[in-house]
Amino acid sequence: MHALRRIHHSLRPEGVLLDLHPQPEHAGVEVWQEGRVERLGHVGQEEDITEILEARDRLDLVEREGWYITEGRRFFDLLSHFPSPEDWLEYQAREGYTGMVSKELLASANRLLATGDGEFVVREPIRASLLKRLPRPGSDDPSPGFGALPGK
Amino acid sequence: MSDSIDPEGTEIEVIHELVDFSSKKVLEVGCGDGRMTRRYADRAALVLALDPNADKIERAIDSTPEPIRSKVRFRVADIADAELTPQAFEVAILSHSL
Repeated sequence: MHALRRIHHSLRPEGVLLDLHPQPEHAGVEVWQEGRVERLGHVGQEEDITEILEARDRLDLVEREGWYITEGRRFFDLLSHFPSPEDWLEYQAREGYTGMVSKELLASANRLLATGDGEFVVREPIRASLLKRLPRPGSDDPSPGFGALPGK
Repeated sequence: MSDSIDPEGTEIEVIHELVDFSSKKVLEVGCGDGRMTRRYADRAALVLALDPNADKIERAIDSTPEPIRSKVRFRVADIADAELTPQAFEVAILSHSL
């Protein structure tokens, strides 16, 4: 919440905020090999999903309070490609990410990748929201239109 | 390793659909290793990119190509206590950072 208000303070009156965060779903795990896609399962990330839902609540709240208004939204899959499951695990550890997959899934991926060239791919659904900064009633915000929002 | 994330360019395509960065001053919160910053900074006038993780900021600085170095400032900082000029930016980006 504090972050959203600080950003509001640093944005010009006509400014926009672009928020990108994952959908509250488990990312998919795939092996891509010779033009085929094998869907093996999902990344276990219950903790992340809880945090995402909390983040959405914070965004919804600042919008209800009149700090911003959503002007556009897009959904897409962010694909991350790795030569092997071990490379993905190394990446997760380096970046401090907590999502994990089962040993069985890792073994399946390694079995498939041992048969030829391929990639370990993680598919993460993302929501991108464009929010327009609104003047903040009750503050010293000099934005044009201050106080001109009925019901705010 | 950054190149293995979204090599398809889907994310930046969506971002450009939503935001016009042309000659804009941009505040990026949670820039990480600068993966996204490097993809839009060429269009912006100036970018201030923040991340609380010093290692990631070091990687971001090291991997920023020369042509955009003059317009991007990476800083180790948390939005909660970063010193920011009021009403200085036209665009803010929050990437996985709420």
